Amino acid sequence: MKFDKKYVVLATSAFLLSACGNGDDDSAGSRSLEVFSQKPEMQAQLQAIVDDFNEEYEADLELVSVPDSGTVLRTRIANNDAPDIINIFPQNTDFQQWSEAGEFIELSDESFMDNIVEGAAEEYAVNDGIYSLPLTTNAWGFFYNEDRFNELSLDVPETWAEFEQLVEDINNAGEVPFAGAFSTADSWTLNGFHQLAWAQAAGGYDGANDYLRHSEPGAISTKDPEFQRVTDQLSLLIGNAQRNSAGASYHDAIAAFTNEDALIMPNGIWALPAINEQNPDFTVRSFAFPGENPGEQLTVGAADLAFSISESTSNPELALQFLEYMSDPDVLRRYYEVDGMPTSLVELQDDDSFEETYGITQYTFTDQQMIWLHRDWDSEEGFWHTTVDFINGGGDEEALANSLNQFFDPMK
Amino acid sequence: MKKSFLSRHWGYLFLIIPIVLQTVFFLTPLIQGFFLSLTNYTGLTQNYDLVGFSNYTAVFSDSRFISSIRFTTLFTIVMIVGQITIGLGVGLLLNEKMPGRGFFRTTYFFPAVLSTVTVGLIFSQIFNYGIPQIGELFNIEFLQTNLLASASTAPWAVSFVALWQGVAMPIIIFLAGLQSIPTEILEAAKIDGATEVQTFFNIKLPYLLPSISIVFILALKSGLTAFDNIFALTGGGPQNSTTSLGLLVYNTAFTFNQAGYANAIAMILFLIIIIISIVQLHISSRFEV
Repeated sequence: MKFDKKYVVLATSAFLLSACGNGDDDSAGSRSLEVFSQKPEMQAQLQAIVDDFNEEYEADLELVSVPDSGTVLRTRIANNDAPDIINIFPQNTDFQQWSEAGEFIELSDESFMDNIVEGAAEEYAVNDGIYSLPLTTNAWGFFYNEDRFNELSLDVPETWAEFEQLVEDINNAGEVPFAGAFSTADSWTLNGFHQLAWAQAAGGYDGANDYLRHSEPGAISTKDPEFQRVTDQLSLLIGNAQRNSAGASYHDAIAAFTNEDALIMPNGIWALPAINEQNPDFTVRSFAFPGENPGEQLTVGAADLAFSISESTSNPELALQFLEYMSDPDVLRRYYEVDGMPTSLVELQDDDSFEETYGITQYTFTDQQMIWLHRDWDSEEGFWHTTVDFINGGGDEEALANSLNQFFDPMK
Repeated sequence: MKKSFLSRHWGYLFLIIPIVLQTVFFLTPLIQGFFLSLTNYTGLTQNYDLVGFSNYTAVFSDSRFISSIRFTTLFTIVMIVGQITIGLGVGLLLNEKMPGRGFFRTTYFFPAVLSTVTVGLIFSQIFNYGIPQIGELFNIEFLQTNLLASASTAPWAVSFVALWQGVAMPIIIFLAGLQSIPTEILEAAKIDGATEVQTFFNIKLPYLLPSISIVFILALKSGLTAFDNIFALTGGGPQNSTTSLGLLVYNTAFTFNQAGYANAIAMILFLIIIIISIVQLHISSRFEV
């Protein structure tokens, strides 16, 4: 009968649709946890560590590494889908807000926190609570081709005036000074340069943020001496980078440096694994951001490999066990031997640092290392863009001032 | 015999599914978005306060919004004019009998099957490495730099890429429209001595008005909601010169952590699209055959 057939069709449709539902069973105490990584360049090393942990503890941790991980993480946490164990940068505003909102487990009473140097975790405390285990710190500076420097009798600059002279000497020798990634997409590679320029011009972390972040709306002006000093320093990059630098990516810059198309690469020490992957035919060394006077070099950085545990994890004990495992010197050494970033583990403090990055890392954990300025900001990406816009725009100071005001005013 | 309620109305039950989907994936986010546009929601946590319509008043004094409106308008006009004129022109050519017509039809449609992000990434390499070499080879000064790296040339470069890909579907739409014109009318016009130009303006164009209307709306939609290829090509730079309204919404929500404000921009964009669509439909309906 027609009537019966209609019922059958409707019922079948409803059944098929309901079968498309999510069948996940989220039982408490699950041995399956997700480790969310924001370090794609260290995925192989982290995967090996996770595999060993799974074997040793009969667990089933899954390492997840996705493009645009910061945005993915934000979307997931906003949808109450936080990963169990999260590699997150504790100096960023998203970490701070999530900590305040109770998204993470408090770690200050955990025994493994004694494995890291005193103060390392407290640096990132939120309302006196510790929500992050910072295992390594990044730093920013300049990689250079030591062999070509020696051939051309060039010296590592200790002051900004020497740096300007160095660039001139490189040009006069017919070489290209900088391997730059001046595309909008990879403008983050110059974040350190721009922030350090402001720190030097405005008197350190507090001075820079007082001028940029905590001033009145529209206060950033081309007439200010701090602004002029910064643009003078940023201008060193204009016209002194490899061909096609305006649209070059992070990987293009590394290729230009390792192919000896340019002698200096401004970047963070996180780039070392990528540089080494290219097997450059020269000795790679580094130097920090030169100061006004000798001995005033600066670097900027903060926690790089740092873990937090989601409050909503199904197995906090297992997650804490993983953090304890990561803070084991024998485990972290496997990561460190490829990554090269200084660690905060007490037992690894005396380990030989990588010669390639020593020129920068010698200043980490000293008063010549500044924490990233964006710790006090609501976001940072717009700031990155102002750097490359200034360089690619030929040094348009008015445009830079307008862009910086546009970026900072909504925060004020 | 009087049919039961179900027998008379059972067809409507099949509408439940699309209505539910529309409610879940369109209406609910729309209402949620409107609510969030009245708050200072950062998008990071659920701690936010109601701020009334202050986000909306802030939008109209935001230089990024003004710049974005300017670029989106330019981009949309280029897309509409370009897709209609180029699409119609190529459609007319592909409607003629000529050797290799099938090959040309395939070639012109090919960009439509490519991912917009892939096209953006490929062209960003072409603009940075390919075109400057051509510029140096032929000594054309303005081509010797990356057109995407300058605020004055980037909008045009981005529009070119979008048009290169966007014109493929209109060509097919116009081709289909041309082939649906009754041949006896065209033959009658020919017999009456009408020229090609007269035939085009008095016969083909009126018959193509529905196609032009469709292309107009599609181009308008793609222009006003442009995101993928711009994100891949320039990320909205340099100096926000290629930040479309769609990209501004994304950047405001996900990079500037101002999700409430981003929703206000999105609501305004929604209203703009509605108004323009209604006006366009009303105008074009008068001239259809």
